[in-house]
Amino acid sequence: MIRVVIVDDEGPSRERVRGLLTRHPGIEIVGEADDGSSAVERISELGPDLVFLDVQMPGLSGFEVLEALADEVPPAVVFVTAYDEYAIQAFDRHAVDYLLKPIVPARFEQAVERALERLAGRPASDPDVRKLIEERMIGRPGPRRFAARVGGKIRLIADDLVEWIEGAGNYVRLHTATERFPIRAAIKDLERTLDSARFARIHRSAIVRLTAIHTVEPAGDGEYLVVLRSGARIRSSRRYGPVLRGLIR
Amino acid sequence: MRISRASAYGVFAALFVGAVIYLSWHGHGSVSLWPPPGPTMLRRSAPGLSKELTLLTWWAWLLALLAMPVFWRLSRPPSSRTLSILLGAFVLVGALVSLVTSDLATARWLGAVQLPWAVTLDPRRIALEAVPFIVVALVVHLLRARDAENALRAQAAESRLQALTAQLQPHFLFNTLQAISTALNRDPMVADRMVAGLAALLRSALDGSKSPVVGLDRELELLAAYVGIMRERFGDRVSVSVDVDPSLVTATVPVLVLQPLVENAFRHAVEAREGAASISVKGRRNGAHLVLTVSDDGPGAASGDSARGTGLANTSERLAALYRGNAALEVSSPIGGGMTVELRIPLGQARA
Repeated sequence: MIRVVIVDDEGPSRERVRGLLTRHPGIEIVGEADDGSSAVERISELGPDLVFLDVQMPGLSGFEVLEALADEVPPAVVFVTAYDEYAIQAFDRHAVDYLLKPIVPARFEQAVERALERLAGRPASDPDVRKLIEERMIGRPGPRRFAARVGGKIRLIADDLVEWIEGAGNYVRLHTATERFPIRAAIKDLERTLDSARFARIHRSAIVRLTAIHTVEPAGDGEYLVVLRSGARIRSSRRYGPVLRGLIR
Repeated sequence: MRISRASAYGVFAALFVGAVIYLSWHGHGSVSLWPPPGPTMLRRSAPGLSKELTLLTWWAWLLALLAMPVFWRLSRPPSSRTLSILLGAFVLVGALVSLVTSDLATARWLGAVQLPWAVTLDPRRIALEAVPFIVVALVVHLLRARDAENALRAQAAESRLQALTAQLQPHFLFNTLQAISTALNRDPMVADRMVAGLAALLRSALDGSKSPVVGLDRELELLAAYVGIMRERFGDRVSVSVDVDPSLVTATVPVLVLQPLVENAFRHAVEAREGAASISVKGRRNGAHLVLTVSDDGPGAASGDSARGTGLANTSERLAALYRGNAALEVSSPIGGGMTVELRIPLGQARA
């Protein structure tokens, strides 16, 4: 039995997918969600095999849902979108399956077939959802926000609240003035999604928001001690010395 | 038909060749087209001034021809200034050629005798030689002007399309179609209603460029059609209340002015809350103005939303285009949250 979750903020749209799935006795709909946050909860609690995921939803977009779920075993995803030419280009580039609204039954069958093949371990093509998500974030310069899971809830953190980002292997920790949020991402991947005018890497495992810096003290040997407004103290490494010298000048 | 630079150049070259053949045929002496007439060829031809004039014409046309692509690189149709520059260049080239040929050595090389100034600069001759040139330039000018007009027409169509997408977003259209295809399977009556509503909205948006204003009663009908579709799509997550002074329904407003404001308000309000978003539309009279307000109970100005800004800017531009400085759009957001967009439209003053 293939277990499916349907995510869409519009009832009739979920109903459409539900109706088209009734022709597949091997597929069971285990849950539905009508916004991004509850989608993250549903998917992580139910662990479905396949998700039909609306792209444009208020609150958390389909992409942000997947980003928030990055540390789960990823389900197969079929994106559903009304109109977003950039997203469609990205889907094509990464061989990720998608359906356009209004959904045409023949095309829907094709998508289900491809998903079933993929789940049976016979990938028709190799979809790269992670790359897709990353690219969506890189593609947008300027402010962004992070979706972090805190005790079953999703917290959206605007990047101007983040003082610094600490790398720890496959994870990073976002430090705001008062809180810390773990996010599943490598620091070098995350760095590329940030606005380089406002964030700077100062250590192999540290990125700081420039306006959060209170003082920069030379610590000898090309290293610096960076003190943030919150009082956090981060030592830069020699490799990133030029960045800090550029800031002081 | 678009006149490309190459085809205009071709027409010009053909006329040039025709003119040279014509001139060489009609007693101006025989001149071969290529190579340029050498001493022996000219010596063989009949003596007289017409021979030199033919030569002069030949060179002048050649130079003018070479100059044409440079002028046509400016992709607009040639202005009268460009034309007079070309004409001046033509006369100047003629004079220069006559100067060059008046030099003895060159004249000998060309096989020409020294030219008397009076003949070379005879205004009647020059005018005559200029006639085909001017005709070609005018024809090209007219064809290019027609091209420019076509381009303007295409641009107008495009701006109509832009107005349509500003008022009815593709996202709205495709989600509505999705909801209709769902309703077809469940309740054809609902599907019918939604199709009728969508058709009314599309028709008004498409007609908007022809009749940019409608009666407020019609505008409220369109709003009702829009809200009906929203209700099918979002169920009880949205509630819209409309309260308009009945004496105002004869006022005119820009067509579909309320719908993008309500759409914005909905998107904004529903994003922030779990429950229903409630939007209220009010209309009242204030002196010589109709004041329409659209309020939501979202988080207000606290959350920056650039899409919302763009929508409001479009509305602002429409008001400015229709009412000059007599209409206004104002956004207010109290500290407690919520946002109100207020439109002030002069009563009965719209430029139809």
